[in-house]
Amino acid sequence: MFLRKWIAVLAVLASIALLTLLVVKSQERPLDARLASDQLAQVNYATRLTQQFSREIARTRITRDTSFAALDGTAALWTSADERLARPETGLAAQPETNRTLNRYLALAAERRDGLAEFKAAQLHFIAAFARLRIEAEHILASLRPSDAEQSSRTQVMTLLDELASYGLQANPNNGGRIYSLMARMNGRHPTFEQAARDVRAAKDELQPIADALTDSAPVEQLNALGALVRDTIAVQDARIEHYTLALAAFAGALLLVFSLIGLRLRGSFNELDGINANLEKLVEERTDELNRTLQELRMQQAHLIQSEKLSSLGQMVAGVAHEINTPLGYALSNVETVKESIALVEAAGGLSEDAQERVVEADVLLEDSMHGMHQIDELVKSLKNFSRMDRSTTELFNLNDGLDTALKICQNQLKGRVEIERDFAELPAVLCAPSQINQVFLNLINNGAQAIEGTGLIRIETRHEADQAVIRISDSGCGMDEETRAHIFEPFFTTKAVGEGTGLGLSIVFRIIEDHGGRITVDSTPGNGSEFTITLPVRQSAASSPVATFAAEPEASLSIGSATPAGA
Amino acid sequence: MTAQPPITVRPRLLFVDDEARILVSLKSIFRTDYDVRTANSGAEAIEILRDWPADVLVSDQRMPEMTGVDVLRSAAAIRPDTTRILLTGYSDLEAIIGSVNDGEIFRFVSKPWRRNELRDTVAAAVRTTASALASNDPEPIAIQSPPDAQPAGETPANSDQPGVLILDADAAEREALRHVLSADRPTYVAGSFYDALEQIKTHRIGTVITESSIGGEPVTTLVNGLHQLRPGLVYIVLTGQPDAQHIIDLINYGQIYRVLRKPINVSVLRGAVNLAARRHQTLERRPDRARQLTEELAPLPPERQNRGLFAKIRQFLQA
Repeated sequence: MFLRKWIAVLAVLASIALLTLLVVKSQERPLDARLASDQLAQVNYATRLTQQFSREIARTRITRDTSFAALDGTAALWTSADERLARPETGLAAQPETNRTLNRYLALAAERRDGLAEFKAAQLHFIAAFARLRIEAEHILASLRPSDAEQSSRTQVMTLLDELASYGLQANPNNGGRIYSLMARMNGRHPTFEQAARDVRAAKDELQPIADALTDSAPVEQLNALGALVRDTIAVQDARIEHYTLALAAFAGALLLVFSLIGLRLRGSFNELDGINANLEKLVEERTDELNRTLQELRMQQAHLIQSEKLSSLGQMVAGVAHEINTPLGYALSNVETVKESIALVEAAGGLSEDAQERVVEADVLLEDSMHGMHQIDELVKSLKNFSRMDRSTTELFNLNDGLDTALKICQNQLKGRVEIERDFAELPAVLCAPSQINQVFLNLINNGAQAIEGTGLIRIETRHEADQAVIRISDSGCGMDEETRAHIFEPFFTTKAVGEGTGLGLSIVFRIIEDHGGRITVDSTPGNGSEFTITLPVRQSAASSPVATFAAEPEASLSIGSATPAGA
Repeated sequence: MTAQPPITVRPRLLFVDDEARILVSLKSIFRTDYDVRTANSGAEAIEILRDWPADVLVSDQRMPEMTGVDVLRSAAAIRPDTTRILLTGYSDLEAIIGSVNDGEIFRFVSKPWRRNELRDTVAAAVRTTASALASNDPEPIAIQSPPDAQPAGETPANSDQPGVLILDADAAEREALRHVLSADRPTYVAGSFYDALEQIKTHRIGTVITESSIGGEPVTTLVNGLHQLRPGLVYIVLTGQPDAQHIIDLINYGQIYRVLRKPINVSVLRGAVNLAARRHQTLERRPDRARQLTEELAPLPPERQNRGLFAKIRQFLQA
């Protein structure tokens, strides 16, 4: 799990890094392109100046310009252009190949410009020779007469002059032979002119190589090579950028695909989640219902437990108290009876004084009262024993009227002098039931009735045998209850008593016990007019007692019957 | 009683209680008519019994060191003819069952006692002892007899010997019990009171093994009535959910011989049945004593009498 998490994080980081790299790489073009186009522009500029220089040379030679202003200006511009080309920020020196080509060009260019002075000198020399030739020619022409013979001489001079002019103009003159033949025809008639002509031709022949050297295409070729190199670089760069762009596009596509897949998976997960959520809600609802039911069940069981715990404690207490009370009660009652008998004997014997006789009668009455009191104590203890039913069987045929009487005796103290009891018992058949529980029901209902009565009042208990059913009605003249209370009184822990006064278990226990016996309990009440509880129990029902195995699982071989049962404690 | 010589020696009563005032009170009731001795503890009572054959022993149950059942058991060993009564303010189920099986008590009396009732009970106990002594035929005592001991001359499964009646509402349980017991002697079964009466009328039966309640109805009334129909019958009560009051009633109104709690140990059951058979044999030999015992049963309160059943039993008696 830990490893997977880290792998995922690393993958995300790697893809971000790759994306960044690709974006940066594909965005390089503007900067480099500007540099490259700048380089190309400068190379072109230098090329133009180189060509202009050549043209200027040619123009200067043809026009026989002697000022050299345009030529010098062009040369100066060219120099500065070359200087700019050679500057490191231009970037051409950065790569060895372009650097080599550049240097070659710069050297050639510098060489051309260095040759300028020689060209100028040769040009001036040529122009001067030509000027002398013209002067010689004018001399000859001025000395000739317009005769035929002389006409031909004039023509000869003029032709030579033209030829030489042409020779001077043309870069590669092809009339050299013609010039020689013309001069041969003059045949030394005009030696100075001829000399001047030869000078012109020589000056031209001298000038022409210099001009040719200055105007050859070597620098331009170098510049062209340089431009080609720059364009190549740009092309390479473009190719690379294009490569990166393509990679970027591919990567973006891949990422998109991955995202789509993740999206799809997410959608699937969400769908699944939705399903699970819906299921979960249903499950939660079901569980909640189940829990509620269990809670209700637990509450009932708890109520039951608390009650049986109470009963069990009561039983143990009664067991102890019964013995402790019965022992002194035993001799006290017996003694009173004995004394009473003795007194009767004394009285029968006679011979008592009147006073003594009176005393004896009074003592007899008092002893009778004592006996009455002690019998009451005895009855109460017996009732307690009956009620707790310690060591009694859980299920048996039981007289419900007896149960009601036992319950009445137990809560007599609470009722005495305050609540009047009206008993209306019909003869009931014995009902198979758990007497301890039924007793508890009766005690609970009588107690509740008594508590509902403020001051004095009446509790009426009626039993009836109606069509296979034993019906017990317990009504009180107490405060009664409203509909709201009536609806809840059989729920566990519902109580109308102050906190700490009641556990709120009573009537829920009553309800449970009567239900367990296959009976019904209903309540009828109006506020201020008392309540009436009606219990209906079937007279005949199957015994609810749990069966006990007949034989012990492992019969012990030879136990004497004498020690079969341990001695009682 | 007619065989008794005129009483020259007063019957001897021994009372045991850790509360001295009880002893004083009891003594005041009985001293005029009986030779009364008292003991403050079980050990003291046993000491007295060794030299002094009491007719009746009345013991409390809850006492320190030696409980009432312990005292009764020891007393039965030393003086089997002494009639034993438990007089107690409260006793738990174990003690009540113990008082039957170990103490073989004659009566279970609750404190506070009614003076006249106690007088009657003690008188009845004295008469019982007298009849036992007169019979000169010692009772089989559990402590002294091995459980499987058979009286000489008897052979197991002999159809001549008295049979066993099993009264149980549960058919499966009836058959299981019959299966266990039928090897030793004739065994009969009944599922209801009336079946039981029919079986007793038809067959020779010495021992009745019965559930403590049949269909929710305690067998007390039946046992009480049967005593009058067949004085020599011996009763063994089986109980799954023992009820202290029922067992006390069965002691007082039914003079039951044993109480066995379920689940039942088979060897204990067979031992009990053998002992019961011996007791029946003894009583059969002495019908006067059997009748005497029946006469000395506590009278069943009228409200406890099942009229229909009583009528049926009476019908049987007359038949």
